[in-house]
Amino acid sequence: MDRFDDDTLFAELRELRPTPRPEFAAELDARAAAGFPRGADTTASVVAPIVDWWRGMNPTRRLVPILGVALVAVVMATVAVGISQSGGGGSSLQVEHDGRTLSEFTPMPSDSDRAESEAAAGAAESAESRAAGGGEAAAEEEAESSAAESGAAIEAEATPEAVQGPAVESKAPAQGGRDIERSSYIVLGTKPGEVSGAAAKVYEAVRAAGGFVLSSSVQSGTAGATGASFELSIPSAKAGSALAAISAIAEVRQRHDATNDITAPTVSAAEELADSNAAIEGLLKQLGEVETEAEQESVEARLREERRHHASIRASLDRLHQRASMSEVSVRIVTDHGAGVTPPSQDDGDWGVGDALHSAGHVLTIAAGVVLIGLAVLAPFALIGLLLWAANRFRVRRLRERTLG
Amino acid sequence: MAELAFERLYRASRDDLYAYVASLLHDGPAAEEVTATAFERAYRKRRRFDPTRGEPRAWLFGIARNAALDELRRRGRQAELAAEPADLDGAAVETGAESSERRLALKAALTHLEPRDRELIALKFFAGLGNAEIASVLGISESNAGTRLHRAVTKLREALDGSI
Repeated sequence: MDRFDDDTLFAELRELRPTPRPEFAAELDARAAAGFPRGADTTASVVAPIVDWWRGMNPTRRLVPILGVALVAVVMATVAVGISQSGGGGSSLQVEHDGRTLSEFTPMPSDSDRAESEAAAGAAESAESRAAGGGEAAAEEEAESSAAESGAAIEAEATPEAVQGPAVESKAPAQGGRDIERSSYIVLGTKPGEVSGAAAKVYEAVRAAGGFVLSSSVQSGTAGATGASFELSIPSAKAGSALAAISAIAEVRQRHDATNDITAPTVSAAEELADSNAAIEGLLKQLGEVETEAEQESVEARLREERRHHASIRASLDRLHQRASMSEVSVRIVTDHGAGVTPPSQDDGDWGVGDALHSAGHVLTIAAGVVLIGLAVLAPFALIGLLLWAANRFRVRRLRERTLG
Repeated sequence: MAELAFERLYRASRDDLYAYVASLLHDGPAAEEVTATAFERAYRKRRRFDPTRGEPRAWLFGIARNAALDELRRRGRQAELAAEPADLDGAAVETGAESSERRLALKAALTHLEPRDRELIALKFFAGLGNAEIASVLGISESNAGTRLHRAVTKLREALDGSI
C-alpha cells in the first residue's frame, strides 16, 4: 500500500466522516421547522421559559417589568415601615422646660409610694394639730421626721392621653388641711395663625380664675417660629378649673402636674413663730421689771433681735402660705416644628398640598432608606453569589477539558 | 441572530455538527441526542449571539462541544475516548480493496491519537471548520490552532506509517 500524500489523506479523512441517519435528519428537520420545542435538552431548568421570555423582549420593553417590580418593592417596603411604626404606640413628644426635658421629671409615683406619702402627710397633720393645741416639741419632731422619711415632694406626671380632664383634683392627694404646693406645665399645639387667639384665651382663663400672669412672651412668624409662653400664678383652689379651661384652648401635646407637700416646713415655721411670740412677750414682761439702765439696754437689745427674727419667720411663713395658696402654671403654645416639640403625626385635621408634599417626602425618604438598607444587606450575598458563579464556571470548564484528557 | 439566519445556519451545519459530536462520543444515539440538544440551546440563545465575537458556526460548535463534553462527563465515558473509534456511523461505502485497506489503516491510526488531536481532526475534516473557527471553538488563538492541527496531522501520519 502506497504512502498517503496530503491530498489523499485529507480526502480519506473526509470519507470517514460520520453521517446522521436519514430518520434522525428528518426528525431534526421537523423539530427545526417547529422552532425546536423543548425535549432534547434535559438540563433545561424550570425557569428556562421565563429566561426565554425575558431574552425575547425588546430591551426598552424590559423596563416595564423592572419598573413594576421596583414599584411593588417600594410599596411593600413603605407599608412594612408604616406597619412597624404604627405598632410602636404613637409618636413621642419631648418638651424642653427650664433646661430639662420632661423625661427627666420624677416619674409618677406608684400606689405604694402614694400610700406612703399620704401616711406621712397624715402623721404631719396630726402633729400639726397637736402643735397648735399645746406646742409640744414631741409632736413637732414626729411631724418633721415622718415627712422627711416619706419625702415631702410628691410629683405626678400626666401623659398626653390622660390630660383631657381636670387632672389636678383627681391626681393630687386630698388637701384636708395640709399645705400642698402645686405646679403644672402645659404645651398646647395650634396653627401659626391661631397663636394670638389662643394667647388671649389664656389671659381670659387666668382672669376668670382670679390669678395673674407673672410673665408672658408671644412670638409671631412662620410655623415653628411662632409661639407663646406664659408663667402664671393661679389660686390653688381654682387651679383645676383653670387648667381645664387652658387645656380646652388647643390641642394638649404635653402636660405635667407636680405637687409638693410643704406642710412640715409650714408647721415648723408656725411653731417657730409661736416661740418667737412667746419670747417677745417674755422679753416685754422682763423689760417692765428691770431696775437698772444696763439691764434695760440688754433686754431691749434682745427684744430687737427677737423681733427681727420674728419678722423673718413671719416672712417665711407667708411665703409658704403663698406657695400653698397659689399654683404656678407654665403654658407654652407651639406650632409645628417649634420649641423642641416633635410634630405629631396628625395636626389639626386640615390637610393641604404642603402636608401632602411633606408626607410624600417622608415616604420617599423612608423608601430610600429601606432600599439602601436592602442593598447593604444584599450586596455581600450578591458578591458571594457572583464569586460562586464564577468559581463554578471555572470548575465546569476545567472538568470539561479534563474529559478530553 | 434572526430566525432566518438561524435556519440557514442549521441547514449548513446539521451534518457537520453531527459528525463532530459523533466523533467525540462514539455513540450514535448519544450523538443524535447531543446534536439535537445543541441546536435547541443555540436556538434559545440565538438572540445573544454576538457577531463581533466570532462566526455563527464557531458559536454553534462551541455549544455542541460543551454539550458533548457534559454528556461524556455525565456518563463517565472518558475511558472510551481512548478506545476504538472505528465505529463511525455512516462511513462511506468502501469502493475497492486498496481503498478499503487504506481506510482501515486510517481508522487504526486515528485510535492512536490523543483525544484532543482526534477532536482537531474531527473539527477540521469531519466538520469542515477553518482554523479561525477551530480556534474560536477551542478558545485558543488561530495560530495555535494551526500549529496544533499540524501536529495532529503529523501524529496521524506517523501512526499511519507505523501501521503500514
